[in-house]
Amino acid sequence: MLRQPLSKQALFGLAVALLVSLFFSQWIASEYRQQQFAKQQIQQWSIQGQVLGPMISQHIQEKKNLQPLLVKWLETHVGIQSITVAGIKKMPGYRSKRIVAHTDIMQKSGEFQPKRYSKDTRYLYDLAKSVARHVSTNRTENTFRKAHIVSNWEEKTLQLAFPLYLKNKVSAALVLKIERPKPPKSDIQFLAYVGTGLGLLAIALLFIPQKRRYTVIAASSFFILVVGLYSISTFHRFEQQAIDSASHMLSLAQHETKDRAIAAESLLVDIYERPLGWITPELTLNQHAIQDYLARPMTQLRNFFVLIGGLSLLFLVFIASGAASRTIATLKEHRQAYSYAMPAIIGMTILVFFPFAYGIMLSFTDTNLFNESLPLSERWIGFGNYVSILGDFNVVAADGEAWSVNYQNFYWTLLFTIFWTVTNVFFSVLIGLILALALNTEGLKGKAIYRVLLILPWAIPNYITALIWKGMFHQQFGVVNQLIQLFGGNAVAWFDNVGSSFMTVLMTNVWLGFPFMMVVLLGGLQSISSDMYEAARIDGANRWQQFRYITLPSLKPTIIPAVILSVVWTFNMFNVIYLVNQGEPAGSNEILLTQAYKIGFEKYQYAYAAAYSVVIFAILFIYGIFQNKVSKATEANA
Amino acid sequence: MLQKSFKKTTLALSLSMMAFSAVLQAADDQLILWHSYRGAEKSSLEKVVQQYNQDMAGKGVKIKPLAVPHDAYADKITAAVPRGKGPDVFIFSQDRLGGWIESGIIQSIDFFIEDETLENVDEKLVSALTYQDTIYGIPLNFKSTALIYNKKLIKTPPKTDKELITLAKKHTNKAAGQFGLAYKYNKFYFHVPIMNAFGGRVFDEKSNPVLNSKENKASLSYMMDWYENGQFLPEEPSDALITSLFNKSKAAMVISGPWFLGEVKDDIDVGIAPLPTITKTGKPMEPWLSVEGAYISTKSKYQEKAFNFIQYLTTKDVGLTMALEGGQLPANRTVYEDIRVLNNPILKGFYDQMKTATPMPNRAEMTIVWSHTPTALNKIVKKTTTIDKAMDQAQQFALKDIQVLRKSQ
Amino acid sequence: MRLPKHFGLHVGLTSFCLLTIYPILWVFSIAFSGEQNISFANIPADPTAWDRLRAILPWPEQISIQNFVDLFTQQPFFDWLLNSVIVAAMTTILGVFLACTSAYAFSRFRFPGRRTGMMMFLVSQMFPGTLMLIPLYIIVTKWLGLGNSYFGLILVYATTAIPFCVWMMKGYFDTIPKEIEESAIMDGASSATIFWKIVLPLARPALAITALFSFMTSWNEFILASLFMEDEAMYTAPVGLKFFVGGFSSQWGYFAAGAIIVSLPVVLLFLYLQKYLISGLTAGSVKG
Repeated sequence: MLRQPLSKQALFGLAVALLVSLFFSQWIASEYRQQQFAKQQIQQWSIQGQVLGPMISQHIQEKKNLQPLLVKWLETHVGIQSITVAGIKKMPGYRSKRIVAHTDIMQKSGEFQPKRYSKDTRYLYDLAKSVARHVSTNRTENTFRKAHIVSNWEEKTLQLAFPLYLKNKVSAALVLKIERPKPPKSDIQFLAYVGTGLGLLAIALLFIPQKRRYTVIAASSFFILVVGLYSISTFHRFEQQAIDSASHMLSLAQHETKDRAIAAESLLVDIYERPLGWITPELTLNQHAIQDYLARPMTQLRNFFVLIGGLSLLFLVFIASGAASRTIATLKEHRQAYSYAMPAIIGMTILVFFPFAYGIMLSFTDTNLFNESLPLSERWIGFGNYVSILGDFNVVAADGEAWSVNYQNFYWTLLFTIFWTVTNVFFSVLIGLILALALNTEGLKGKAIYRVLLILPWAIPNYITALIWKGMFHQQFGVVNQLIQLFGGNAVAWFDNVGSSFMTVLMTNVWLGFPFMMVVLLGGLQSISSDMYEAARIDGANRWQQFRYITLPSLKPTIIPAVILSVVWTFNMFNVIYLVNQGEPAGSNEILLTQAYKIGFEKYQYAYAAAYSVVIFAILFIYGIFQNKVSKATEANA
Repeated sequence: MLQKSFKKTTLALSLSMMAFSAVLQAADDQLILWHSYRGAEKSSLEKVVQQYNQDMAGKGVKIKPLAVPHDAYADKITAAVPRGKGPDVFIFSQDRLGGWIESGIIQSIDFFIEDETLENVDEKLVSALTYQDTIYGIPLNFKSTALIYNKKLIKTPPKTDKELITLAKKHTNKAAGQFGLAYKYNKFYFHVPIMNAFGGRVFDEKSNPVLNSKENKASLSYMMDWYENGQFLPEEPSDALITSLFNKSKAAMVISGPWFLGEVKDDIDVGIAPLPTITKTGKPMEPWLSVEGAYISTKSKYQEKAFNFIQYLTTKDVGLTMALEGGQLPANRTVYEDIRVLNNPILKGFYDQMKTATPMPNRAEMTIVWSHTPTALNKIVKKTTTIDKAMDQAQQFALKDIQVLRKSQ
Repeated sequence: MRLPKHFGLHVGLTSFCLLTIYPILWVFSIAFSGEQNISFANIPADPTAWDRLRAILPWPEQISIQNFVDLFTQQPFFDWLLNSVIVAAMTTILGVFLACTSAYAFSRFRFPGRRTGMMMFLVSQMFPGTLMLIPLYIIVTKWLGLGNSYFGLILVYATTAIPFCVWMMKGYFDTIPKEIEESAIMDGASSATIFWKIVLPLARPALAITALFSFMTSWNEFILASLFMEDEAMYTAPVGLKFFVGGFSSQWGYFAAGAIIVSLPVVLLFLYLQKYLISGLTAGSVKG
């Protein structure tokens, strides 16, 4: 049956792809299941909290005895280790701890016997405090961003804290300590699926012609079939489980409200104490609400499945089509080259590309300061950030008669950044080239001194020189204006105007940048053999012709990488803008990077800033590809 | 043979490991303390830490301070603490407090606080470190701006804005580069005293921004009145310029904080007074208070010991060392009963100013305000737009940014 | 009368040098003023040309070396300088080594993934660094366990410097004619011998630039150094300098003095490397 390497490769590819894809899918599915299970637990106990909470509040207000009710209640609820009313006192008072106490209401007497908090009961205080803080934060800000029902999973217990409202204010919390329920076991043997797939393929291979094309198609179709079956059954089961648990909760809520004047739907709330809407007024399950509730996590699960499946399929094709073995052969063939390049590549992968991947991932979320502790799946928003960055064409704002540029707009900043980069690189290369040529003059005395003086701007930390430059442009006392006035001109308010403000940063950055170019080009000039000039002279070429036809072409291999890198660096040159003109006036001189910095660190929109950075990256990447074509041409010359 | 020796080595190794871990167990719990002080402030803190380590010798606690540059401080905290690394205790001013609490970096200390812990600390200073009704740190020192004047030029400091304007005009000769008053009126932080005197504010009770309130606008047009009609303020004020003017006796009065005094030349006789009252509203100019607090990391394994240590930092003796040797303004009010402190005009002057100062908001959203006010103030000062328009726009931007941050789940 | 040789060139270069070092003279002026701020000159009510000229001259009102003395007495600045030297020197060695081998591979071998590899190096320079701080912190301190060590810092700096160095070196390697190596192979030299004994010596100008660049990359960096180090004794000089600025006030006098001290090693290194900038192929040793 397995006579030929073709079918071996197909079987091997299918085995690997199925193992990888089903293993990861299974892993994610079980994570999902655990997550849902935890949510269900909290929701289920929330019902109890919603029942008990008002009861206790009423008791406190009316000073009734709670014990009979509680005893009865406890008979039907197993797993509860303790029920505590944990008090906190509101302001004014850092002098709080003296008064504040907690009561374990499961104690026999049924009377409140407050105890001061101790080291061992600190968790109660912390829970109660966070409940009260969250409720008041949400109320003042008129949002729902902090959970009213706070849960804490310990090793053996689940602690749940609910706000206790007294006169509509939270001054205590109800804390339930519950035996930690056993998590559901993963009930799928994914190896069975792998076996089925492999078996099917093995049989199929007996019948199909031994051609690469057919074996790849067969392996792929079995992969899709098996993974599809697995996914469908998993989804179906999860949906069923969700509905089961919802109806379980419905009956629980109905049970709890049987003898009381509370509506069942008011018991089924989310962690912000908002009704989930799972129960219709007719006391049946609202399938739509449940579907909606499930939609988001289910979509994410599906996306993960598709992603894993897709990648595995690619891998399968890669192996089955023989590309894998060809790659290995190539690696072996160019062993020497790869081993030379490898150390640098490994270092770069770990320390550059990995953090980079993190940044890209972040850009697909809506992470900010206030929600960064939420699980990734709840922050995922896909391309939302990119849409709002790239889709905002509001560059020019009309204000009545007057037109003004909206300097906060991405496209203005982009244009400015490009202009900034081009001018800077142009002038640094120009000055660097002139100086390098001058310093390369044969027989020039004092070269060493000139060279050292001219690299000083590069050598001194730019943090201070940038500030010196800023001082030099001061309207009243700055050196530049003094000089202008010395020659009879008028003082300029440099930072008031888009153009003059740009001049300040341009001058500073060119000053900082030309020494580097000069040094690189000096080195480059050395690689030009003097024989070439001699030959040219004999042919009667003048200075300019020599420069045009010998110097420039020979400098290309050094200029081009230096220019490419300098473009990239200038594009992201943070310090000069940040220190010299701070993007003034009105943010018009902001470059993309300083803008991203502001969004990330002043507005705390981390994900939006990450998306900005990815866009910066993409722009430079396109530039890099374009430039690479140019350098390819030079390489052909060399 | 080889195997035998291998066994021996492992035995010896494991024995020595055991001995080593025994030593570790006997060693003190080392609490890491981060701060961003430098110069005299740093050495006075190190001195009190050393004192504490001496006092606690043999009691299983040792504090190890680490100075972190101010510009790297926030990055280092946000990188280290959520990863379970970083300090047990750290000191920083309250402007980052809200953000760090929201990202779960700072432990609330309500639980540890006893009645007597903060009885010597002004309630105002405690409220600076209180966030959502919860106390997160113990106030160590505070800083605020005040009126700093050249005693040679100003005999009695102005009590009201009218006196201030008269004095300022008297000492101004713009052509000679001489100014009656110099301060960074184009920076929001330095405008705040006037804003507060007009009853303006940055956030309302619902903690929404109210940058364009009519009080704020009124305060700005009052400031522009100084600038345009008073003509006693220098153009484009910067730290370097103000220092330079003051040192050359070319600025009679300056609005700045204690940090400014380090740069004043010895031959200038400096006086410090609370900022004057604005006659129109009858309220004093109230600068913002920055309170440097000591916080406990949520990831600290020794929270109780950490609390004991920060409690020690608020004692009178520590306060005296910090005040007299570090030139700081301790939060403990009993420090100001000491004759050496009372006789120090600088400490006394800023302590008096503290009584009318207001804590700077510690909400995380404050950075959004900082982000939009420079443009607005620049436009106002340069008169490229009206106060109304500039502030309305700043408000609109700030509101939008804050709503993005606070969206519901 | 004849003007001295290159007179015009000297005039041009001298005036450009003056322009270039002018801002730096201000740094010196602050450093030696004994004060902490730039002192703005007195400009009288009706300034004469001389008054304005005086304002332009970067000369402190009094000269004092107090800032330099304080720099070394207030902080263990010397130790930090030493740390910097260690880190920068190791970075240079590691960076240049990694760059040379990779660049050689990219220049001399034709292998699949070569273009992509070069592109990837370039790409790495394109992603803004500020957002990579936290992942980098996690990788270095948590995964690699290299927090608070020289090596962690060296590794990060060297990888930061690699892309530029590789691109630069490859450019130079490309200009070295292959004929040299081919003839060496004929003589029976091994590929390692060719690389170390023939190619590298020819690429000396590039090596000098690469070394200078690697050195500079680590020399002025402060944020990663202050992020990774957990002991004051481990700080580098730029971290020490940063203590003087930020917060409510900045002590520019100390900073300027420190900046001058910090840039001295760079200048010295450049002086030393200069001679390699004028060697390479000029001898005309080869012409294909």
